Amino acid sequence: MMQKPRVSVHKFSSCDGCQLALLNGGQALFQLAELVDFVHFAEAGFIDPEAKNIDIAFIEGSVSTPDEERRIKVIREHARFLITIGACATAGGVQALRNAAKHAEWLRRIYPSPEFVASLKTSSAIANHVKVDLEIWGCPVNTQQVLDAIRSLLSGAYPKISRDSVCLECKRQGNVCVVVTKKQPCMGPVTRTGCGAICPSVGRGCYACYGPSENPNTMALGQHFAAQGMSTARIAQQFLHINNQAPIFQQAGMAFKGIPIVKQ
Amino acid sequence: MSNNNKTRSIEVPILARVEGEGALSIQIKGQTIKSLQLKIYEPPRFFEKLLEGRHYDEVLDFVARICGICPVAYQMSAAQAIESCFEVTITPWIREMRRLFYCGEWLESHSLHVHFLAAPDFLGFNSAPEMAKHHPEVLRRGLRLQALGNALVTLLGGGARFILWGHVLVVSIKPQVR
Repeated sequence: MMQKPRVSVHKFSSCDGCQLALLNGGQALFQLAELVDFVHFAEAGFIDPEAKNIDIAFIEGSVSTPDEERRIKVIREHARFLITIGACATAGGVQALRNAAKHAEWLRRIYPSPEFVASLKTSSAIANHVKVDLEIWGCPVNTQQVLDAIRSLLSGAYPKISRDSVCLECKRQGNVCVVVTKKQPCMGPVTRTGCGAICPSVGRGCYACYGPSENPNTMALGQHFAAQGMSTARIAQQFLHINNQAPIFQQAGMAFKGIPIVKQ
Repeated sequence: MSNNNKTRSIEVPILARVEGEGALSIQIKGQTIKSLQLKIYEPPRFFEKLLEGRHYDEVLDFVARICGICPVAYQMSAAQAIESCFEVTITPWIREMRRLFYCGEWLESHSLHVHFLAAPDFLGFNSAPEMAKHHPEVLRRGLRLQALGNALVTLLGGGARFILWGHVLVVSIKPQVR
């Protein structure tokens, strides 16, 4: 009998929500456990963090501590295919808002003994540290997308992830556009789908938790918000949100802020 | 007993089947615990500071990301804090709907905890998938309860874990049955 593919799931700086996409998979998780060997997945009970000969390594979370910088290199060395799941692993996450702030001061203001807290000045995407084979965006990722990716890889195919904008999903669902009819600052035109356009479906604007779509025209969208009376400071915040370190969102955010911030 | 004064140590660098990250270190001399340290090494993410300067209607989207397992708890706390800033009183209907929303999270999270995270310890297995081979009905019950909780959160949250009826002060939008 052929050996089952070896799969690991690793947590970095994150909220656990993307691992939960797997743990919330219900029956599908147990079917998956039949098809693969979970070698490391602490939350599910499998511990072997630096195991060798991994076929698929899933990474949740961003790199924000010295130990995480080291750990990701070890995991990469032993993994054939490395997939980032979620906004933290793929773009640094909401916690990357520290990258444009005074990190030492933040630490000191929040923690009475900051010397006990291991934290880097920046929170960064996994791809800033090692080669990533596939990115699954979303905050949190959609369970079906993760399961589809595993299924494709088990069948020897490269997973297909749509990079369409949320607008296309709204059209498919027959949603009334919240930008046009409610003048809401909806980020759908520049955000990739995958969520199923859940926010516009309940009448609120998208807040870009799935990251940038393919070829997004961020400046035109921001200018549209400005023409509707939104301040440039708030437009900047629309982009500097959950996926603030996605390069195209960061550029747009900085442009509307009017303050170029460069940090190594 | 000859081993009475022997010192032993138990080091658990990664606690398995818990929500979040932790390590445990215990020193035992004879029958007495000399030291016990639980280390929570979850990295800081600075929500306390990154929320400063943001508009109040963004706050619920941010705080949901503190914990992906219990986002509703953070959203409800933030909603109450913001409402008290604005001196807004919510109607009994909203309060009941929020309680139901919260109950959905409890059902989902606690059934996950009981069946998938804790039960393997009590029944002597390393993981839930391993336990499923011997006690499939226990796991199926867990899945059903988890699915019920998820359905409530989805119904009241507007489709996903992290969304609560749009904006804090517009909470009278009725949840849509989909």
